[in-house]
Amino acid sequence: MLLAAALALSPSPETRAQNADPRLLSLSCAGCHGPSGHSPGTIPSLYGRTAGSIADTMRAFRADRLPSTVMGRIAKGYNDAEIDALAQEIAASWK
Amino acid sequence: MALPLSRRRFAGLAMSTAAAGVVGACAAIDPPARARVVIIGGGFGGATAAKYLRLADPDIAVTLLEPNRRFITCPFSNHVLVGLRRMEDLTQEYTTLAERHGVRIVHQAAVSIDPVNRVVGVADGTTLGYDRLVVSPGIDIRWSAIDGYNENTVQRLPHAWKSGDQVLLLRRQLEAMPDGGVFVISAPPAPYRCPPGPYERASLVAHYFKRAKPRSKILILDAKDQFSEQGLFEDGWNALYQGMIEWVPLSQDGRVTEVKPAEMTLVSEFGEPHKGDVINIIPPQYAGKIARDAGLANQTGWCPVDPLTFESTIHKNVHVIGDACIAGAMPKGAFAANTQAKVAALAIVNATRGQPPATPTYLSSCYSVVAPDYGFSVMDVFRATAQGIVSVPGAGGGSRRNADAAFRAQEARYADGWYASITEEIWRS
Repeated sequence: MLLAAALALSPSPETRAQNADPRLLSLSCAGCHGPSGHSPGTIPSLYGRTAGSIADTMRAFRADRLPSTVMGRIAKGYNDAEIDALAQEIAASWK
Repeated sequence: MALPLSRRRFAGLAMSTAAAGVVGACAAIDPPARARVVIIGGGFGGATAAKYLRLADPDIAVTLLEPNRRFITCPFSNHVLVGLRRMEDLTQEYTTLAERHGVRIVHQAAVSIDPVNRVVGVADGTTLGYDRLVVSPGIDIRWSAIDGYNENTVQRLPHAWKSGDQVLLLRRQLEAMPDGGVFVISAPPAPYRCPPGPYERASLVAHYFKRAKPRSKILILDAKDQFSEQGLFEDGWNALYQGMIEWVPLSQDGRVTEVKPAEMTLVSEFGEPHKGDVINIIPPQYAGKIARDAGLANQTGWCPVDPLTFESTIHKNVHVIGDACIAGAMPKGAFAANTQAKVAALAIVNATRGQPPATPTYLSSCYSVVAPDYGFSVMDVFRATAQGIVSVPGAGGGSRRNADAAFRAQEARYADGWYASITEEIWRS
């Protein structure tokens, strides 16, 4: 009960108790960036990148250090552990 | 890699499943599926679930029930309405799901669900047993909500809120409308499929009128006092379509309660008549019929689900995804259905292995265009909490207002890319 209340009231993603599953994090990206990060259209592809480059880019979007149309808004939804996990998942499985 | 093998193996599974329904004991001949999943509906939710169930666990036999041979998407149907895309561009095939992923596609409608014995009744009189059922039927029109609006009226006053013929019908009516005419849209109360859709429709019709019939007007009669991305839409209307679009909110008698098709007139709550040359009724909605008939919906007309797994809170072993379910803060739309399907698919795989569900994350990515080179978006990241699915504070939201033309053009290009990517992910890879 206490845990549930803490989850619901947590002011920032950093204080959440449970991080999202890495596969589900990476699959969220596929909707726009294409299957396994192969985008057939105007949105940049994500396959073939290193985990470090993906994580750095996500952090830069999150801090508004990198201009974007949508990625700044999206990156703010994930904490550091989740950004690292999704970057590793993408680098490992999206060839 | 092991694709041909798993396909062969699946062919065996599908046979044993079909045979088991008739004779009951052919499992000795073919390797048994560890679990049988039936999916009702081959749209953004159901087709995504089918693919990811098979990718996550080839030992799960998946049968997808979808009456249509091809799926015509609602996303980008407003473009077809005004001639910016062809219906063929919105038409998706099930070949890849069947051939690459070994999903058994049955082009039949589901007509009943027996959640106790776990059996789905099919329109051709056969039945399909399941261990887990995914219900992704989309929306139905609440015919009783507006007096005089029924199945016979939709030829004269199309809803065009399911893609395909209704969209083409409304397009022909708009093309036939004389310059100086009035196009009336009746917008529904929330919740409904595609929150920004009615306003994108008004925008793109204005784009068409501006070139083809510049003296024409658009009147939106709304059952709400505010709408999705309202500021962004109004900025776009002021910039591109000054004086062409009038929006009447609920508090100014915007809610349509009656239609008079013979007089091409709508009547609002306080009796005000509104005449139109072309009228588009986007009616109030609820969960697709099969879900309501199966008792999966509550008094709201939508289906309550567990935010971690999308399993129905009414019937066990049945997962409801997409527009039909109650997903807290998530809007009803294609992208939401896509991420819900991924969460539900992995939750089902885990459940068949006796494992708890993975911690979910949900995303919604909705683009709208006011003109082909003027777009914006609303993005949200969601979490499952004790209070249901909530959007993560500090993240997401709409595109910034007062952005320059290059920014709006870039978002319009990304809207095209969004469509290319999500349809590729679901139906072509």
